[in-house]
Formats: sequence, C-alpha cells, structure tokens
Amino acid sequence: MTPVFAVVGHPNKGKSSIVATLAHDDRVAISAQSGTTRVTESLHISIGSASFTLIDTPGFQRPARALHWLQQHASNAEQRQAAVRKFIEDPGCQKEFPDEVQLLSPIVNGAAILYVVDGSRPYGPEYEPEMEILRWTGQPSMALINPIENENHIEPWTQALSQYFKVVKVFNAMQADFEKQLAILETFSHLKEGWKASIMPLIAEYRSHRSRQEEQSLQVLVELLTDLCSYQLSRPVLNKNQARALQSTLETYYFNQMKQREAKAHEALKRIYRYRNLDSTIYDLSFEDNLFDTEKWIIWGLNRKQLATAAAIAGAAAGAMVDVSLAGHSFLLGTVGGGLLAGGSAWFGADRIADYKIKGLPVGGYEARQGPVRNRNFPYVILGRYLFLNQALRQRNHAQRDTLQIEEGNLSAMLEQLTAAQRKALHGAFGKLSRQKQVDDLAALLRSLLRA
Amino acid sequence: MVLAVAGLLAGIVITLTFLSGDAQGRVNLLYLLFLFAFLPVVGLVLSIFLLLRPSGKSLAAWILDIPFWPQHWHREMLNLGGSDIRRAWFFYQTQLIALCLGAGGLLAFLVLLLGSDVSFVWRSTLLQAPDLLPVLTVLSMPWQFWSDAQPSLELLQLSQDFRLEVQQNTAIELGQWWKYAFAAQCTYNLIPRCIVLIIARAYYRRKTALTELPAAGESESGNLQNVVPQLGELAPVLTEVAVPFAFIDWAILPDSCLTSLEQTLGKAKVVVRVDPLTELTATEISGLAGLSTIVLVKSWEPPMGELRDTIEKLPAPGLVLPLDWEGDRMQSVSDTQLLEWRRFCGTLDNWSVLLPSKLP
Repeated sequence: MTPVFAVVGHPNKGKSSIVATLAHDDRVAISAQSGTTRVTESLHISIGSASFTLIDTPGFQRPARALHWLQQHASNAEQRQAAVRKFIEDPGCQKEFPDEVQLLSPIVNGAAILYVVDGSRPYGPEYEPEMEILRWTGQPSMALINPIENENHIEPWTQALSQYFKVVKVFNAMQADFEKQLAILETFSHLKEGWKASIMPLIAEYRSHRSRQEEQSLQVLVELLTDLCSYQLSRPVLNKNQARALQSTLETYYFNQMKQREAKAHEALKRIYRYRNLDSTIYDLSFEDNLFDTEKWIIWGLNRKQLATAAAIAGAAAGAMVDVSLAGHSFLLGTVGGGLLAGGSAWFGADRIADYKIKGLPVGGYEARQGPVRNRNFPYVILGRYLFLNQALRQRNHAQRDTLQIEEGNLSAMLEQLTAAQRKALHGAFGKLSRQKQVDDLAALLRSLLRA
Repeated sequence: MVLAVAGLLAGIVITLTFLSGDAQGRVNLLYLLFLFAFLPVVGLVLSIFLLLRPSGKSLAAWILDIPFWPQHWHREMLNLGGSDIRRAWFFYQTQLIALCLGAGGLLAFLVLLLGSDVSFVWRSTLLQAPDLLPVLTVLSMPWQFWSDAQPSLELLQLSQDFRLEVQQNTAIELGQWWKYAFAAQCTYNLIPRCIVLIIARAYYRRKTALTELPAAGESESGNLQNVVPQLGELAPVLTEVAVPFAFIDWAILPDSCLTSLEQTLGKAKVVVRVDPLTELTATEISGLAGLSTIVLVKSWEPPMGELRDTIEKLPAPGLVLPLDWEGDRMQSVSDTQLLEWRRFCGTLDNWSVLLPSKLP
C-alpha cells in the first residue's frame, strides 16, 4: 500500500515548500505570490523499493461558503462523507469552488491530509470552516505548523488544531534538516493502520540513499583532485620564440580548462543532492585576475604556516621510512631532514602555481608546456571549495529558492576534526598529488571530511 | 574486450605449445593436468584472497604502481573510483581474462583432438601407476557420472612412458585420456571461472551503483505543471483617503487597533463588520453611498476568493488597507505583503491599496 498525502491549507502557508522538502525536489514552484500552485500536482517519490506520493494542492479560496453548501447537503454525521463526494462531483460546485474541488478530490479518493498553517502568525477563526470541511472527509489527518517567520504563535495554533487533528507537529519546511524530515515521515506512519510497513522501509531507503549520495560526492571529489592536480597542457612549436608567443594563450586556456573542470564537478555535486535549478556563486579563484596572486588560495586552502606544517608532517613521515629501513642507524636524520626539507619547500613555494616550460624535442622543434600545478596548497584549495559547497548543499533544503552563496571557510578547522593519524595520511596524500603521484586510497582519506 | 581477445589468444598459444608434445606427438598428462587444473585453481584462490583481504595494498594498487603505464590510462584507472571500486573492477577483469584464457585453451585442445593424433603419456621417476591412481581418482570425483572419463590402473600402466624404452601402445589407447583432460579443464577451470565471473560482475556493479551519478534531468514525476506566475498588473498605493469614509472590516480588527487606526485616519462614518458568509445587506450598501470605501484586511493573510466575492458586490471602487498588528500594537506592513495586495487590487476594477504614511 503506497501512502498518499494531500498537502492542503490556506494559500501561501508553505504547502509547496513542504512538498519540495519532503520530495527533495527543487522543481516544485514556490514563490511569495499566493496562487502559485494553480493545479493539483502529484509527486510520486520512489526510493529503492519504497515509495510514497505527495499531492501539492491549491489553497482554499471559499471555505466558508463551501462548508455552507456541505451543511445544506448533510443533516447528520453519517451523511458528511457522502456530501463531500457529492460536492466534488457536482458541476455547479466545480464551477463555483474550483480550488476546493481540486484540493478535496485526492482526499475523497483516499489520500491522507497534511494540513499546513503558519505558526508565525496568530490563529484566526477564518480557518475553522476549512478545518471543519477536512474533518468531514473522515480521512486520516495531521496538522503541520510551519513557522515561516518566527515561532510566536505555535501554542495557540496547537490548541486550536488539536481539536480538529489527532496529530499536530511543528515542521519548518525551509529549515528542516535531513533528520527532521525523516522524523516527520515517521510521524506519518502513525496516521493510518498499515502505513508503518510502507513508511519505515521508506525511511531506511532515505538513509541508504543519503549514504549513496555521500559516496557519489566522494567519487566526484577524488576525480576532481586527481584531474586538476595532474592536468598538463602542451603544444608542439617550431622554435622558442613561437613558444614564448604562445605562453599567454596557453596559460589562459589552461586555467579556463581547470575552472571548467571544477565547475563541472560542482554541478555534479548539486545533481547528486538533487538540485536541478540551483544557482550558486562561489568565491572565485579568479585565475585571470592575477595568475600569481595566491592570496585567494589561502581563503580556501591552508595559509603559509599551516601549509609548511602539513608538508613537514608528510616529509617527516617519508623520512621516517628511511630511518626504519636503516634500522635506526640514521639517528632519525631521515625524519628530521624530510620534515625540514618538505616544510621549507612548501613555505617558499607557496606562491608558485603552474610553470610554463619550453622543452626541446628529440625529433626537433620544441614543446610549450603549461602545468601541472605543483603548488602544495592547490589540492587543499580544491578540497576546501568542494567541502564548503558540499556542506552547504547537505544543510540546504529543497524549498529554498535563493542563490546559494559559498563564502570563504576555514579548512584548517575542518582538518582539525580528523585524528592526527588521518591528518598525517591526508597531508602525505596531498603531497603526493602535488607531485603528480598516484594516491591509491584517496577516497578513504577524504570520506570522514566529507561527512563532517 | 581487447583484454578478453588477448586472453583467448594467449590460451590458444599456451595450449598449443603444451599439446605439441615431443617428436612423436606424445603429451605429458601430468603437465596437462598442471595447466588445466592446478594452475586455474591456484589462480582462482589467489584472486579471491586478494579481493577479500581486509587491509593492505590491493592487486589493483600494485598494478597501478608499475611505472610504464601511460599517464592517461593511469588517470582513467584512478577515475574508476575509490580503491574498493578499482579492486572490484580488477577482480572482474582478471576473471574475464582467465575465463577467456581457459576458453582459448579448450578451443585449441578440441581442435588438436580433431585434427591431430594426440597421445597422452606420463613419466615419473618416483611415482608408479598405483601411486598416481588415487590422486587422479579423487580429481575425477566431480564427473563420476561419466564412466569413460574415469582413470583406470590399466590405462595408467599402459600410458606410463620411459624414454629409453620403445613403446608399443597404439595411439588410440593413449588418446583415451582426452576425456579425462577435457573433464578436468571444465571442472577445475571453466565452470568455476564462469561462476566467479558472474559474482565478480555483480560485485562490481553493486560497488559502482553506489557512486553512479544521477542523470541530469532525472525525475520521478515527470514535468511539473505549476510555475511561478508573472507579477501581473500592480494597483497604485495611496497614502491619503478622501473623507468621509467607511470601513468594511474583513480583518476582524481588535477594538484597540481600530481606535488606533481612527486616531490616524480620522473617524469612519460607517464601520461594517463582514465575514465570508455575511452578505452585505441593502441597507449597509446604501449606507456606503457618498463615502470612500476602505476594506480592512490582515496584511499577512493572502487575499482569497471570498474577499474578492465581497469586494465585487460593493457598489463603487475603493481602497484595500492591509494592516499588521501583534497583540494590541500596530506594526508596519512588509514589502512582500504590500506587493501581494497591490497584485490583488491590480486584478480588480479601479481598486487601490491604501498605505497611510502616519501608520507604523
């Protein structure tokens, strides 16, 4: 039995927002204008083997008069459900009460009721006719108080709604995070006998879908890091002068390609979290502005000191291998030397991005070569930008329609959440990446960062 | 595909080399069993062990470490996904290659049997036929139902070869071992490989399914019909009202707020409290004659059909005054709310929104 919910209420109280949030679908039309939902729209959500249907409906327009009509056609409680059915089938009502007919039709056909009100505004008696109509349908029902602006009036609303609905819950459609969404779904399972068997697997599927999304985003990040850190562009030229003339063009093309590759990964990440219409802005790397200005890199990656420390840790780890292989006869010179060397090169190389080289070819002629980016901070910059976007998307809600703005973040604070061993492994791996060496298990190293 | 073809060719070449035998066309049965049964089983066990090993570097990682791979291939391998995906992919590929290798071997074996007289012999300094029989019998247990492919002491003794002795056995008798070799290859190479290949494929698919990106336009519900509407025509906003005026109170305004409003705008000549079910009476309508009509509404409640119905019954155009209050205190109307009411009045004939400058 697939649970079906009709989301109903006054116009502009967040019905579509609730549908968008629970369906994880940002295509649902939402705006501050009342009457955005003109027609009843069913969203069938299928995740793995579980599914449910949410029906977005237009708001009530003439509930008092509709109730008046119903009261004239039912003299006692036994006749009320039949009267509602008659109401939606009556051609006169279809003409006079088109919105009420639309929103009541799925309910009469078996959908449970999710009645939505705004908890930031005071309760008013004008809501009573529509609640009374919903009660007449005899369908399982639940009221959701959506505190659109504040929570000032939740208590009076709860008192009023509990007279009409068995279950009353507060659910902020704009801010409900993943766990709150699942909690509200779990509440739905109590509405009708037999729905628990459908909704509990649905919640389990949502959780496993979330894990899948995390794995997918990890995969995109690994590919992005691998691609960007190894990207190199070369063109054959006849002589050195031609190579020098080509430098600016090659550089521009090279950095544009890098930016496009990153943008592609960010789009993939949005798609993973099911954002199809999301505009986002991210503090730009602005390669074109000033190629060798690495100040902006520090916003996303590590600063010079952190970078040198990270490099020293990785260098010391590599040096320690030498000490171990010499059974300690090197008196820890490998560890100390490796740390100093790597840390020093990171400190002094923090401003270098990608070199332009002209190399002679054995068969004659030259090759102009741009990249790869050898800067040790580069993988951290890519990681930082991706992590902050990932974090924002995970926290975002599909009902939100504003542009997602990713401002600078604190990557080192995120790295601090890792254990010392994890940090060391990550620094080592990024050191390898910046030297264009293969890192076998990058995904495992990044997994906990991405889930943080 | 390339690797599968390469495996098939390699299987053919290796089998042909083994089955070419010596100058008399005699093939050492023990070598053949080593090739058809022992090596495949060891290879299978090793690849499963490397896959299931909980930690440590995978075979995939070792292979990736080989320096001569082209860089683009290297990157493609890394882009397959995390190490567990690569591990699954390598496992799948190795099973595929091994199966093709075995299939190539079987093909070559059958072709040689068909087009050549292969004599199977065995040689050993340490073993005699009675020593070898139990081993061969145990190996043949899976195909016990095929009596012609079972080893016998007589056949074993007949096919034991000593290079210094001239053998008198006929090729037909020595060729009888082909059934045993064929059954051994099917049992210890092809069938287990097929099974493991199916498992490896499913395992790899399960791993990649976790990281498969959703398609760009993926949707469970197809295209949605509702779209954000255009803003439409906006009614003007007036700050002054002509006196005398009447209030149509649709907002169920608290008395304190009504008093506050009248202190700002002046006293209304008529105040009519209406609700969705109340039809304005003829007396009330006639009482509005010559007065500016101001409909008081809750600014935060969107305009509904019932309000429109009531407004359309009024004899002349008027003003809609959206009001916001918290308790007894009036507060300013937000821009969004104002826009909503201007939009609503824009759909009515000559109606305007009133926003007195003296109100909060």
